[in-house]
Amino acid sequence: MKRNNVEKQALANEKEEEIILKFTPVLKDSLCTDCGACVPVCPVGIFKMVNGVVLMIKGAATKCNGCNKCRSVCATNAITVS
Amino acid sequence: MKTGRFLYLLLLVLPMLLTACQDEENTSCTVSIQLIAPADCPALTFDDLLVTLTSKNGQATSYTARCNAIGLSVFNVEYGEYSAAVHYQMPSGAILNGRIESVLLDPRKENESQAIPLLLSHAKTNALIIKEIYYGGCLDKEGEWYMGDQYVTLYNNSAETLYLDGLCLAVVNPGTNFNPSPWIEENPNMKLIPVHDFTWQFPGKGNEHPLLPGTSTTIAANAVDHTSGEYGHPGAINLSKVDWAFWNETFKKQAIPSLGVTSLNLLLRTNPYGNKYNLPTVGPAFMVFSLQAPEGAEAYVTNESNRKPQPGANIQNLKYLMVPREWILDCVDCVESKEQVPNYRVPVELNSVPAYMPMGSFKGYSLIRKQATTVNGRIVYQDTNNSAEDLTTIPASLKNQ
Repeated sequence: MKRNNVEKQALANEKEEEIILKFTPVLKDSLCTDCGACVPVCPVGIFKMVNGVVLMIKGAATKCNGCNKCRSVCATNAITVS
Repeated sequence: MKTGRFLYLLLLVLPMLLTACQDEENTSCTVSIQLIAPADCPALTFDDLLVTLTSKNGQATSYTARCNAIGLSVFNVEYGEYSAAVHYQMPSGAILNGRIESVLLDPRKENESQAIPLLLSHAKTNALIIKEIYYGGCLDKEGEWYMGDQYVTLYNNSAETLYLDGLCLAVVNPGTNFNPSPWIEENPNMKLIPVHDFTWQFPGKGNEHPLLPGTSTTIAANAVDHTSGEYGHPGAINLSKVDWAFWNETFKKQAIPSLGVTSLNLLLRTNPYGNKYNLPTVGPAFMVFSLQAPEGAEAYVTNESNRKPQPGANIQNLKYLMVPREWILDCVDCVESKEQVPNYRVPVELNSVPAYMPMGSFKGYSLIRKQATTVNGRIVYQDTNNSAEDLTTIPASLKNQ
């Protein structure tokens, strides 16, 4: 479970200290049903369906523009954007 | 000298006062709502009826006005977009509902002369009702949000034995309520109701699963003991003894139901994705319906002509099963908070105003029907097709049972 959580946190690990995230999207695995609703609505393509599992693309969180479209289609509160 | 100075000051201040008054006047207007009785209620006494206008912008502020003898109610409100709703129980017990999805008060238009018609219709009372819906979840042993112990309880509100065989359960699309429903925006009086992703069906051929008058049956998302064993969440609920489970082997992250719990049949999944079945923790519009198609349930749901894409959706190949409104036996509409009340998802014939839990989700609370009366020891629950009025918030009733 924890490993999945780590996989789903698309933070740019390599250059974390150099990047200031304006918005931080977090996908909580325990609440995610993998319904895929967030995948097509993200304008910058942060989410991806891989083998039936929704993942956040590594490093893509830096592109988040805080539009909250992902949050608005998530029925189970699995996505937060702070 | 003093009078002269006063007049001088008055001349300076007057234009400012006039401008302020003008601005004040420009922010609000008068709007009239004219109720129209159903054809079979020509002698309706209108002056008992209350009309509620609810702002669709921001805080969902509500205003209520009583009708006059001819069914006219008058409001003086700020410009903006509102919904209008009426809910009335006649002395006979019959319920009248009515709703206008959008009353747009635009300063560029002359609203004062308008009397907007609002047609009232009879609410259908149901024998089988959704008694309790626990969608909000609770906190797990680590204090994190937990939704695994969701459940729904159905109740026989009538004096006759009902049979669950073949009845269907589903969430109405959209599964969320942050924005107005595109289906409602397209057609507020929609005759077909969209099913969100998954349609569940009780097994049985007609009389295998009776529900006696005044009794209930519970369906759990994960029919296991969430308080002990591998789960061990003290704040959650033991659902290992419920009757039914929303379970299918295609949901890889779903708990296999405890021994003695029967799984519903997953009649249709229109979303190829999803590894577990959960009710929307943001508040579902949940319905129980009877698939009355003469060709049979399977044939109906597999027929592509009975599906439609969501209006305006980016992905038009994701199509939702459409169910005739008349087939729906009961429906409750639950939204996340007061601000989402205008974002209802079903026409007024099914539900007039959504309910919400003031404390929010993940607090261990349910929405449950209020008790209306008792008939020979049998509880009769309130069912007026108005979730906001019929449901109240309590700690989930199966906790500590």
